[in-house]
Order: sequence, then C-alpha cells, then structure tokens
Amino acid sequence: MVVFLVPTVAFLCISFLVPLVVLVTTSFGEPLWTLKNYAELVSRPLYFIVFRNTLEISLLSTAFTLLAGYPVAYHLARQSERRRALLIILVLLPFWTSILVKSFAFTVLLGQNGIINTFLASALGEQARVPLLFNRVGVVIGMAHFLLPFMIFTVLASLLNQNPDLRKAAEIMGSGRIRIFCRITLPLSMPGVLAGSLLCMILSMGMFITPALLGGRGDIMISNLVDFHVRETLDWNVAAALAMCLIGITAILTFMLSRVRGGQLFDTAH
Amino acid sequence: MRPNSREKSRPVSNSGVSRRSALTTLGAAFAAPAVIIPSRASAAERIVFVSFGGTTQEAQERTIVQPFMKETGIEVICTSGPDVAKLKAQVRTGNIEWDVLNLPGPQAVAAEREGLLEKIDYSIVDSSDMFLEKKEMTLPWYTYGGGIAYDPRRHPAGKHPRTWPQFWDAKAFPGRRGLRTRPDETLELALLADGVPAKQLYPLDVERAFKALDRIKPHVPKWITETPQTISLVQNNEIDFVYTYSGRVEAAKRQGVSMDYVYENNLVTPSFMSVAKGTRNRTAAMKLVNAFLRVEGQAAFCNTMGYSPVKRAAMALLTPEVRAQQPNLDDPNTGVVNVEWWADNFAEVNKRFKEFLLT
Repeated sequence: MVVFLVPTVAFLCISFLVPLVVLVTTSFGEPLWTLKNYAELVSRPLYFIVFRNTLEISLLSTAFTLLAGYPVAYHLARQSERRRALLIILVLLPFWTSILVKSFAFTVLLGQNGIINTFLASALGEQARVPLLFNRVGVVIGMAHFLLPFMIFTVLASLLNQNPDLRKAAEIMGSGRIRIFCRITLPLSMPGVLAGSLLCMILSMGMFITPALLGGRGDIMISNLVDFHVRETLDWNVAAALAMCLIGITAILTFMLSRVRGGQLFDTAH
Repeated sequence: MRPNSREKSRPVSNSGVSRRSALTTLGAAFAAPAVIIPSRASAAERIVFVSFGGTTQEAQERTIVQPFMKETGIEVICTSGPDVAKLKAQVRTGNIEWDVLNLPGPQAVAAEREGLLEKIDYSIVDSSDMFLEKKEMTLPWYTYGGGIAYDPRRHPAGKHPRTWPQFWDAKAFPGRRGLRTRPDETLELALLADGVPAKQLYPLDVERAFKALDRIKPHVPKWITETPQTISLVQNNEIDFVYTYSGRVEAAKRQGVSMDYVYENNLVTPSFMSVAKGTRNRTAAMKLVNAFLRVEGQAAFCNTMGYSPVKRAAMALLTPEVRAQQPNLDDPNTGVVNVEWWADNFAEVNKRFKEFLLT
C-alpha cells in the first residue's frame, strides 16, 4: 500500500516542500540571515492596514457566504436524491467560469449603469442608485460568489449526516417546524457551519484578482502586496516575509479546521 | 552528475535527511526544467521575443518580426506578458526563456539595475539619428503618449477638460475621474495639474504631488490597475474622464466605441527593447533589436498603432493621419517621463502611493 503513496509524496516534496523551504530562507534574507524583511512589515502603516483589510474582507465575505449558503444547503438536504444531484450541478456552475470573466460580468451587473442600478433607478427614481462596484460591497459580492459552493457542500454534508429519526421524534412530540430547526437541525449542523466558515476564511485570505478588479482604492489585500513586491519593487525578500505571515495565519485556521473536522472543537464547546 | 545525485538521495527515506542529500535534491529540482526542454537550448538560430500582447504585439509581429524572419532565416517565437519578476527567475536559474524583451520604461531600468540584461551591441544595432538618447542596456524604440480621454456623446466640446489643471478642476468640469493605481505617470499628472511646467517636472516634488492628489481623490471612483479598463469604464459610463494612451483610444474608435482623446498636455513614455542576460543566441537577439530600429519598420509599426517612432527619418514616412496624432515633443506642455528618476525612487514612492490609496 505504501508504495502507491510514493509518487504523491515525491510530487508534494518537489512542488510544495522545496518551494516552501526556498520561501522561508528568502524571507530571512540571503545570503546572510536577517530579520530586516520582517522589520519592514512593522516599519510603516501600509502593512498593518492591509493585514486588517484582509481580515475584515475575509470575515465579511465568509459571513455573507454563510447567510446566503445555509438556506441553499438546507433546501438541497430536503430534496430527493435525483433532484439534489441536478441542483448540485447548478451550485457548481461558478466553478466552470474563470474568475476574470466573472469579475467583468459583475461590472455589467453591479455598475452605476448596471442591471441592478438601472432597475432601482426606474423603479424608485434616480437617487435610488447605490454604489455596488469599486468598493467593499463589490469585493464581498464577488468573493462570496466564488466561495458559495465550498460553504454549501460543507454544510450540506453535515445536514445529510443528521439522523432523520430525531426530527421525526420531535414532530411526533408536537414540535413545530421552526422549533425543530432551532433546537435540532441548526445545533447539529454547527460543525458543518464552522468547517465551511473556516474553509471560506482560508480561501479568501489569499484572494487576489477579485479585490483588484471589483474593489475600490482601499481594498488592497495581502496577496496584492505580495504581487506588488514580486513584480514591481522586485523585493522578493519582503514578498517572502509577507507570504510567511499569510501562511502563518492560514496555518492557524487550518489547524482549527482539522479540529472541527475531528469533532473536537464541537465537543468541547458543549 | 544527475544519476549520482539520485543515488545519494535514495537513503533519505530510511535514514535522516543529511544536509548534503537535501542540497543535491534541491539542486536537481532547480535543474529539472533545463532537462525537460533541452531542444530549445541547443537550437542555433531560434530566439524568443516577448511583448505586451494585444494589438500592439500584432502590429510588431506583422510589420517588423515577420519581415525580419523572412530576411534573415532566424526563427523568432513570439510570446506575450513581459514581466521583470519572471525574467529575474529565468536569469537566477540560468534557464533563459525570453531572449528579446519589450519593456515599459521603469521596468526596463529596474531590470538593468538588477543585472538581468545584456549590454546592447552597438556594432550590430544602428542607433544613429534618434530623438532619444541610447542607453547601455536598454534601447528606446518608440514612444507613446498618455492624456485625457472621454466620451464625446456625453461631454461635447467645452464640457470636458483639455489640460491637467482642468482635469483637477471638478467644479468647472463635473464628472467622475479615472486614474491609475501606479505612482509613475500619476504623480507627474498631479504636478502638471498643480502648475509645474512640463519641462521642469524632474526631480519630482513628491510632497507637492501628494498634496495635489489629495484634492482629486474624492472625484476618483476607480483607481485603475488594468489598462484595458481605462477604455471599458468610459465605455460602460462608469467614469467620465480618464488618463489613458492615445493608441488605445484610436484602436477603440476604430472598433466603433464613442471616445475621444485630447492631444494636448500629454505625457510621453518611451518603450524599451532589451536582451536578457545569458541569452542563447546573442547575435541573433541583437539583430532582432536592430530590426526594430530600422526606419521602414518603425514607420510601418507607428502607422498601424499611431505611436511615435524614435528614428527621425521615420517621421517623414508617417501618414498625414498618424502625424496628426503625434504628441509634439517641442511643445512646452508635453512632458517626457524620466525613467531613471523612477528607477531610483520607485519602491519608496510606490509604498507611499499605496498608503495614499488605502487611507
């Protein structure tokens, strides 16, 4: 059995471990060891603001994704298996389109003269137009659109894992649908909600093209700064230090995710 | 060497990882790309040319590269997306993929300072009769003008700014402005708007520029990263007045987009030809660079794109239509971007510019 793991391990070593080692050494400077690249990160407000931005945008997008994704997952869980398979294809649709194309499509949808604003203006008058593009709102909408399938599938898995007898028992005892949802379905789906949220957080921390295309001047994220140092200032050492910080934050989140998956975080919370 | 290193790395799985075996494995990983594409390295008369893609590159290939291939028999493979970061990776690993590069000004100087370029061989490259100074490692081969563009249907004559002080005057010319997310060119525009004479821009007064930028900030709904967005955002009525390049506007007009460009108070930037350090075929690369400087090629390219040649003699071969689109370098209101100043100050000013955008 172990033999079959060799190609995967070798592939990961070459494509992941080696670059990671190079990244660590680059972040501490070459040829001499130094902390100056990390000192640069605390030397000016730029990096602090961008780190704060990244966390804010990631949290907002995750919350929005959860609010939009949970009802979809709930609905999917209530369908027959055949119907569910069909609907899942629809959920997967965003994966089939390049993020660049989607971002440009959002311009048509969310712009000042986009479909939504044209509708608002004709229904409620010119002053009803709302800025949906080139600001935080645009970034969050764009990112949530990308994240939705990840949230929906994680929550759906935990909803499908629930023992249907619990709901039946509650129903027999005279519980209404809202009460069943609040007391049984929602609490039991919390591991899925937590896992989905952490997954979305991790994915959004590294977002790059969506904030660049849909965001305003203030919506710069860490990945955009890494790109800036790699391509524009050619300071790969600071870029590596930034990437290390991003990896650090993501590693903490991933660790939490692995605990949720094992059910430990959920158990200790109760 | 290579089978040897494989043997050395074999015991890694059962014993601990020795420093030496780790290093040879690392080395093998870096050398791998060179092993995978050996045919390229051995090809004698074959070079790779990288440029910006889109209509600019199409014109370069049709008017200069293809005639060059027919004439010399040297095969030129064209690719797009020049990137100094990628060039740095290629030179560092000794795996040169790009031989001849068309780079925008500040990037060309940055590449030169990082030691990523070959010296231009002026015994092959004929640099006589040029408007601009030749440099040791980078060669300006055409210039392009940036200025104000707008939609004439929404803003007929008199309703749009014609100069940078007017662009900054939101009261006289109400409308949404579009500027770039990069400090080079943007700081120059701010200083022009603040009344600095175009011929006395350098060294840039950074403080003054940022003060002027603070004034325009509330009127700029979108700071644009990608150049095509400078056109599409005016087209979609997301912004009214934008800083963009004459060639882009003329190309959009030919496709039927309602847009106009002001050939006044322009900012001119040179575009550079360079050769990657450690190129596989230095002579062929230099010959290709020379082809870009030949008068007929310069004129044919500029007639297609509406840009300006660097060879004086090529001016006479421009069509009257294209000649009308040339920014006049002798006009006191035409600024020329000083790429040397930017190469010295780019990193620091750019960080400050990012902070300006964030707050």
